[in-house]
Amino acid sequence: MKNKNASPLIFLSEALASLMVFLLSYYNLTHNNLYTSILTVLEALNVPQQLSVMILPAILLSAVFTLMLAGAFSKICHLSLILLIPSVLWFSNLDWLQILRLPINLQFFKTDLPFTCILYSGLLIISCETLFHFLSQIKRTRRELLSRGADKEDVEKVAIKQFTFASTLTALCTLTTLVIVNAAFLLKTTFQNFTRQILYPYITLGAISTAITIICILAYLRSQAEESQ
Amino acid sequence: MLTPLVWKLLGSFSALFLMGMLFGNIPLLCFSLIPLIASVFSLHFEEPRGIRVERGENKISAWINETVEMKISIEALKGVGIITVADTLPEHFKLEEGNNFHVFWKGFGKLSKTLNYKVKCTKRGIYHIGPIRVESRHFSGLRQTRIDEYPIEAELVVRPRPVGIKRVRDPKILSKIPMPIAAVTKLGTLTTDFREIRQYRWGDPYRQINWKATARLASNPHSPPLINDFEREGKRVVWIFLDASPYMRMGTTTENAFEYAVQAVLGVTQFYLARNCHVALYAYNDGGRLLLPDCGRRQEYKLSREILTMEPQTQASLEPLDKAVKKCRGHIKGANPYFIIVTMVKEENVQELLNGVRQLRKISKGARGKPQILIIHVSGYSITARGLYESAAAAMLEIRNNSIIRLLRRSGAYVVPWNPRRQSFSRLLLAGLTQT
Repeated sequence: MKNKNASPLIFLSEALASLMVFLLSYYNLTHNNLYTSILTVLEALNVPQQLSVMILPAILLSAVFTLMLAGAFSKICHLSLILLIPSVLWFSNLDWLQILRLPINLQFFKTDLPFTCILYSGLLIISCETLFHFLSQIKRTRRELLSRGADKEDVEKVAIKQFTFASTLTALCTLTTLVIVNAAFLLKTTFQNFTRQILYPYITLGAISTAITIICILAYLRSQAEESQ
Repeated sequence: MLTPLVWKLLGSFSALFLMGMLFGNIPLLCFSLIPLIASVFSLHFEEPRGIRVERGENKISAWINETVEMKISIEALKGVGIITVADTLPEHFKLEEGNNFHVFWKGFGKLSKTLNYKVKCTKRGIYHIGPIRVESRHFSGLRQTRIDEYPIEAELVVRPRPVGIKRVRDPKILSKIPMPIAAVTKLGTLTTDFREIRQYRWGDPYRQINWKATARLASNPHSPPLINDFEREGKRVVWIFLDASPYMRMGTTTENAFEYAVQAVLGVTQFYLARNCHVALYAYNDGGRLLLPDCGRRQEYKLSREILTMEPQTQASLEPLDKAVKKCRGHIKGANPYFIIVTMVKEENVQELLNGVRQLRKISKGARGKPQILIIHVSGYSITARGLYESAAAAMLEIRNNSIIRLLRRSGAYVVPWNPRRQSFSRLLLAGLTQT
């Protein structure tokens, strides 16, 4: 079998994925009211319009490339999520800023893009973040095995298979989430008929679902602990 | 058991989920599903289990510096992840080919692999190879790595190559390796094992005269006839005293004066045992390890087995040669055995050796003939010397030793200095041949 090197493959995948999610989130930001407000502030500071359009992407891109060279791909994902958050928050049903009577509210983060576009962009960013979590583990294992004196050829083979498995699993997770999300939207009317009968449906259902999730997680962790003993 | 990495994924889920609940934000709630599903899916796949490890048929005995092939077969039935297999090698083993640490990816199917690697045994001894350590790792590190130790150990006996000593069958030369004739051998009956052609002596039977050899080799008509001499059955005894003092460690762990001394002892032992002699071994300065005189293959096996575990001591000498001789007195008295002392002659131990030689002469007094004592002096300085200057220094130190060696010779012992770097042991003993 031809000897493949896993390191460049993993690096390339990380670089491409992080660049893609960054561009996607930047695109989302440009369609947000916040972006227009930033440009207005820069204009008020007598910055030429052409320069102010270029200054923000230049700063962000330089930050992205610096992080990329440092190998901190996970941080690029965090940066992308921060850029996306204003658009996501605009779809909130509870505006705490308004409830607390603060001078601004979530309407300030109005976006031109449709709900599905924001949803899929966010899902993609979180999927990449999860993939990077697995890839960091692969890199750590690879380094450890090489330092312990394993054959490079064996380690590369293992790393490539591990990478394939992790990528497939992440894709499967994203696909499952998409299926659940779309199924939830399809069953929306049925749910709404049911929730109308409940008093304070948001708080009641929210509390119940949170409690169920926490109980499930704790039960699972406990069973794992017992199994290991 | 789970690792803290699980909390990282669950933390992402919790943060997104709680934020989504706080703001009533559907996208955030949807985002939170990804880390949750990822952790559930990852934990669903367990690390490799149902692992079977077997050691192949390996060699049980090898010579020093021989390359030995090791085989291990591994089978994993369940789980997905990484398997590492490490075979524990003892000290003094050098990896020649392959690796004793392997990594495999266990997919959904059954994993079946055979590992091969070759090692070189650089020092004599009885070694235990193993146990085999197998690590089963979860593919994403969410579960703790399982470490199993399979106590499948293989014993490998690494024997030093004995120096092949041969007896020269030329009637005109005399070897410095004597057969212990002065022992009770003379009473033994003749065997059919040919020993040598020698000159006729008074009392030899006429039927032993080799007329052809006499006609061919006799230089004048008055020279005595030559006879065929045969080995005799009997209890000829050789006592070997091996020095295990700390100074015998001179050199590296794999190449030192003691290692060469062991080689010499094995060579001499094989030589005498092959000639039906009774050989005894005493390692002085080593807690008094004694092998009583015996002959045959069993003694050869016992001796080589005993010598494999001998190591020079780290502490100063506690049992000098004379004390060792006194200890063996009961076994030596009455006979006139041949004594071989394998040591490194130095200024520090010369008095000890002189006392030892004196003691040996005293014990053998009652027996017929003069006691025969051979001291093999292993030159430790030349073993440690690296490069031209160090070799010159070693040679100078050896020259300084000459006066001590002369002193020992005067006391009645025959001293053979041996530089293992330059001389082969068998050639060295042949170098002592003299024309009759």
